[in-house]
Formats: sequence, structure tokens, C-alpha cells
Amino acid sequence: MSVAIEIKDLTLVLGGRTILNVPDFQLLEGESVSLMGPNGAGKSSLLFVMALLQEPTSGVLRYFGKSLQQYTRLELQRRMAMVFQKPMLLDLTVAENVDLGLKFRGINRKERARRIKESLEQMAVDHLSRRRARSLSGGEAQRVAIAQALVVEPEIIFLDEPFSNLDKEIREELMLHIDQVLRKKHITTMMVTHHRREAEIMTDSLYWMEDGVIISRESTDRAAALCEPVSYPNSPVGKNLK
Amino acid sequence: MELIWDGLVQALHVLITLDPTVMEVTWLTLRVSGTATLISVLIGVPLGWLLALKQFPGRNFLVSLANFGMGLPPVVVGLWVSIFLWRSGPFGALNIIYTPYAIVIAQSVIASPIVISFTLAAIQQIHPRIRMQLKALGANQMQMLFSLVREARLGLLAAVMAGFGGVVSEVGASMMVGGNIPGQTRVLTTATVLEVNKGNFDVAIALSIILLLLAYGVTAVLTTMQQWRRES
Repeated sequence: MSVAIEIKDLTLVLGGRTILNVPDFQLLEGESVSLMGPNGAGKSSLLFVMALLQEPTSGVLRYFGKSLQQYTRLELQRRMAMVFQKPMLLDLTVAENVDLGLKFRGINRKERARRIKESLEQMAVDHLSRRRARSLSGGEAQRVAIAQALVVEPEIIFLDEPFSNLDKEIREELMLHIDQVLRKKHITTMMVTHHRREAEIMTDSLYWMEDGVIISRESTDRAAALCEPVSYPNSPVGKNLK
Repeated sequence: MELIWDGLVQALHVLITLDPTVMEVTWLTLRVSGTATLISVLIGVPLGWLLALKQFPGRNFLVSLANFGMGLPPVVVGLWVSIFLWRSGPFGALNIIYTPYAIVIAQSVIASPIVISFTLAAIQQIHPRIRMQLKALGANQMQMLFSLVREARLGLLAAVMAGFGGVVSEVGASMMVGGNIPGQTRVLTTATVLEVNKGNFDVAIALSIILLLLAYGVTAVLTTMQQWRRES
């Protein structure tokens, strides 16, 4: 597998405090990894730096084998997507929100309509397409946010505790569903989570961070985690599992 | 009471008969104040956006200047615009003093700080994470600007309403730079003042009612636009 993102000697210092100190890190194409660690360990900061949403203080970032300078920032940004812990939807309808990333990429109307429909169906929120995004529940908004990220068909997706605001039942079903979608599309995934079960089901390896430093890496045991799958046959997402 | 009644009857008469002189004054008022509001939006929205999102030395001074400018006395604006546009002034060669253009300039100066301050407040109210979300979605600078403007549309329409309300109701600047020339620079406010000075209170009341109807009509249209999507 070739390298999707490579980090060398990365530091992030904010207000005199070292938030990140990552001498060496690689994310392979098609790989899915999770970042775990205590609050303030720098997990989200690392995600934001890799997603080009936060400027590092020093260090080298390489994407798909090329240095950052060989791309325009926008060009790279449009090959990636991000799902935030708290969905940040604009004061538009659900469909208009999902449409944003496609519009920004200049995709034609017909193709946009097709992809929006597919993406909303995939996340079982197609019935909400004309609803105002601000009127959605937490679970619905997070599904829309994930649809918004997936609709642009990213090569890399960053998930910043995407299930933390959801209750246990929704979290479990959504996690299993997204895991299927990401694996089917071979999307390189990097996820921050506080839940080992999420890490084990959705990712191949788990990095542990403390005080801005990656201190260990381990492979996850997905098969074991799936041994006791939680099934919700009547849930809207469950029905859409393919 | 009789005076008010006469004024109301006169206003009704003017409206029903579409009195050509009053209609001309009303149309000029709408054109001049509408153009000034449009110019202030073109200046104020990008500047408000810039002040809301960018950090640079002197930014706080500019913000306080914009906030202070919201209360600029129209007479002071009228005086300074006159000084600049008089034949002996720096822009005297343009020869636009006592023309509708001069009123548009003065009114734009009055409305711009209002639009800047309202835009600044509207954009700053947007959650900072929304900007990050738009960036993550791959928005370029222009797409970011338009998305944020769209997100702040309620506040921005309030800016337009406040700007238009500020200029359509002012009299000092229009009088000083326009000269209240009949058929050329006479607008509803200056015409009202003139009729009061002449003692024609019924006509003045009629003009004031037309001015209120005009201001309300424009505000009602903008309010409908502002609230349109809220109800869907």
C-alpha cells in the first residue's frame, strides 16, 4: 500500500504549550486507524493538522507521496473530508447542506442530485432532505454531517469523535453502517474516539496518544469485537444495511 | 385635529389622483435612497466581512470608527460632502453639487457605517466552526464569502433595512448637498420641511404620510425576504 499521509518532525505549539510532538507517522492508502488517549492528549489537534484545518508550528507533511508545496491547499482539501464531533450544519435544508461540497467542486446539477439522493439514502435520512438542518435531532444531524462528508467521495476521511453525541443504540448501528460504507469504498480513515469498541470495529490499528505524543500502536481485533454484534432490525439505518 | 384631518384628506387625494409633482418627488426619493443603500451595501458588506474575519493592526480602531459612524449627524455629513463638492472644493470639477448624485454620495456616507457594523455583527455571530466546516468541505475564498453571507442573511437584510431607513429619513444632508431644487433634488424629507416653512401643514402631513408609507413598503418587502425561509 502506498502512503496517503506522511508526517515528519511535526510540532504544534499554542500559547507556549506544546500540543503536538510527532516525529514520525504514516497513514497508508486504504488504511483505517484510530487515535485514542485522555482528554487534551492532542488527538483532535493531530486530526485537524492532517486535514489542513490547523497550521502546524513546524514539521513536514506529505500527501500521496508529494510534499505539501506541490499541491494547492484547496486541491488537497477537496480530496479529503471531515466529520466533526458536533455537526456544524448551515441554516439551510438537509439537501442543501449535503450539496455544499459538491457545489464547491463545480459538479453539475444532475450529478449532484444523484449523489445527494444516494448519500442521504445511504445514511437513512432521505426523508429529511427538505427539512431545515437546524431542526434535526443530534443523531439525525450527525448522519447528515456524515452524508455531507461521504457525498464528495473523499480519498481520506477524518472522523473526530463522530458518535460521541449519540446515545448507545444509535451509536452502535451508525458505527456498523459507516464501517461498511467506508470499507466498501476503500476510504482511508482516521478517527478520534474514546471508545475502544468503536476503534476495534471501525479501524485496523489503534494509536495511543498522551501529551501530544504518540506512545504506542496496536492492531485491533475486529473479529472479536464483532463476535457479539448488536442488531437493531427496526432501526432506519439497519434497514439500509446492504 | 382639523389640521391632522386635512393632512390625511390631502394625502389620500394625492395618492388617489397620483399628483405628478408629489409622485416625481417620491420617485426621486426612492431612486436616490435606493441607490445610496445599494452603494453602502457594496461597500459595507465586504468591509464588514473583512473586519469580522481578519485580524490586522488597527482593526479595533476601524471597528470603533464604524460603530461611531452609525450615529453620524446627517448635517455634518452634508456639510463635509458640500465642502468637497463645491466648485472651489477638491471635487468641484465634477460639477455635481446640487444634483441627485451629490445626495446619493452624502447618503452613502451615512448608510455605509450602518451596513458595515450590522454586517460585522451578523458575521461574528456565526459559529467559528462553521468556517472550519466550509474549509473542510473545500470552499475557496469566494465560496467561503458567499456561504457566510448566506448564513448571515437575516442580519444582512437587517443591515439593508437599517441603512435604507437611515437615509430615507434624513433631511440635513439632502438639503445641504441637494439644495431642495424642485424637479431636480427635492426629495420627500426636504419637501416636507419646505411645506412646513411655508405654513402648508396639510401638504406637509400628506408628504410625511407618503414618506412613512414608502419607508414601510420597502421595509415590508425586505422583511418578507428575511423571514421567507424561516417559515419553510
